[in-house]
Amino acid sequence: MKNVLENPIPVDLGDGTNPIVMVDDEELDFLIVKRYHKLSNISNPLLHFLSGEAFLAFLETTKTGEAAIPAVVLMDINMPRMNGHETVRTLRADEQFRKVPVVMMLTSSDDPVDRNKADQVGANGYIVKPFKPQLYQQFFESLKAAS
Amino acid sequence: MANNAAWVSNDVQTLNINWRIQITPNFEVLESRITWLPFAMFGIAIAVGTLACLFAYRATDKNIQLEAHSDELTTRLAEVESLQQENSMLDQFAAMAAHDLQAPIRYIVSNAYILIDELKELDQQELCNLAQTQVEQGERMRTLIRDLLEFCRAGQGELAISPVNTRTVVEEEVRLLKAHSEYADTEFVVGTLPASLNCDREKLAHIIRNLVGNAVKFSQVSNKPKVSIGASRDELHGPWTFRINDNGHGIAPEHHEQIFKPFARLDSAAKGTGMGLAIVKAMLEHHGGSIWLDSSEKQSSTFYFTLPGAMIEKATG
Repeated sequence: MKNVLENPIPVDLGDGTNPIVMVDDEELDFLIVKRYHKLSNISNPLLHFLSGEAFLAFLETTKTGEAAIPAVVLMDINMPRMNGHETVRTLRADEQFRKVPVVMMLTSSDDPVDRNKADQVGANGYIVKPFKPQLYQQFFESLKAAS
Repeated sequence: MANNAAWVSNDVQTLNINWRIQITPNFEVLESRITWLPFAMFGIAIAVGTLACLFAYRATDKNIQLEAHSDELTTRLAEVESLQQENSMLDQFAAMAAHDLQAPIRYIVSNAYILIDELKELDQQELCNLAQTQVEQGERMRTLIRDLLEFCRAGQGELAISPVNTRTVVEEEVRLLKAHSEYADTEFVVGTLPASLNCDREKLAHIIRNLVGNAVKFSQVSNKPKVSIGASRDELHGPWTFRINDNGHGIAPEHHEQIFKPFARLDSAAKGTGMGLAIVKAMLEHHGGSIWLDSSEKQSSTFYFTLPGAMIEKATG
């Protein structure tokens, strides 16, 4: 599994209706991502879920057409109750969500255990939660470029 | 003597001389040999027996030694296993500490980068929010480090053991909690408690403060929040088991072990550092005691703990 900033993964932003989803129990991380999403002028809405359970419940609503399937998912790992790995494993178990691009958000890059696990459960790439938040700008730019 | 008559006689002629060879058995010699035979056999038997005994003894001795070695090996293996467990716990602890300590620093640094980059475009409100987050995260960091140090100290150091009236300790902690306006509606029930228990008073106060504090928080979901504190024992001079009960939502059984681990948080909205129960557990274990929980989701929780080795004179209440 590779760093998406160095090796962008194919993401289809489509007509801008499919949401970019962030699953993270930390509100502050979302606020930072939201800031750079806004700056990127990407029209796909940014959605935030505070837990894996809440995100999976949202995914169920996409089956009825109530909500659009995510264009890409940013997944935190360390969350209470259901962690990021378990959430992605559950997501991948469903045929309909096999191809949803998932980017794991790591706390530090030097944790091979987290990276290997992310690979095993079926994530497409990873991003290291940056100290320099401008890196999120780079991430959104790469999404525009890949799309 | 007829016995001495020649048994074999032969005439041999050689070199023109006639030779007669006579072979005569000497029975006296033979007889004396026969008399010694049983003794010799007896001696050999004893020697063989002794040797057999020696071998048997050595074999048994070896077995005993082997058993002792195997016992020692089992003990050593258990020691290695427990060390491995401790090591893996330490690894987990370090990983969790690094993760939880890094988050506040990341927010502080991130916001500083935003401030530097966008200072001119930011309005007053945004500036305030960014700085406010930095202050809050700095404080969070400080609390985390304080709790971490407290956790490390909880399981070591000398205990100031003296007879403690546990009722006084519980009542004091309840009084402090009642002073919070948000807990004005909470009913506190203090039952039987040991009047004299040998323990470290400060540590006991910390344990009670944490457990009763949690119980009060959890019980707030109820229309009539209620917290009960008491202790009981099976035998007259047996060890006391304390219990703290709340009428909150309860805790699912799969989390019963997890909540006592450092940095454990079942709810990300929870303000705590996730160190509280880990500190309490370490303090109780330092006293030779233990803590456990009886609860199921959507029902009340009861935390139990013991402080053994404590001498009890009488109970109050």
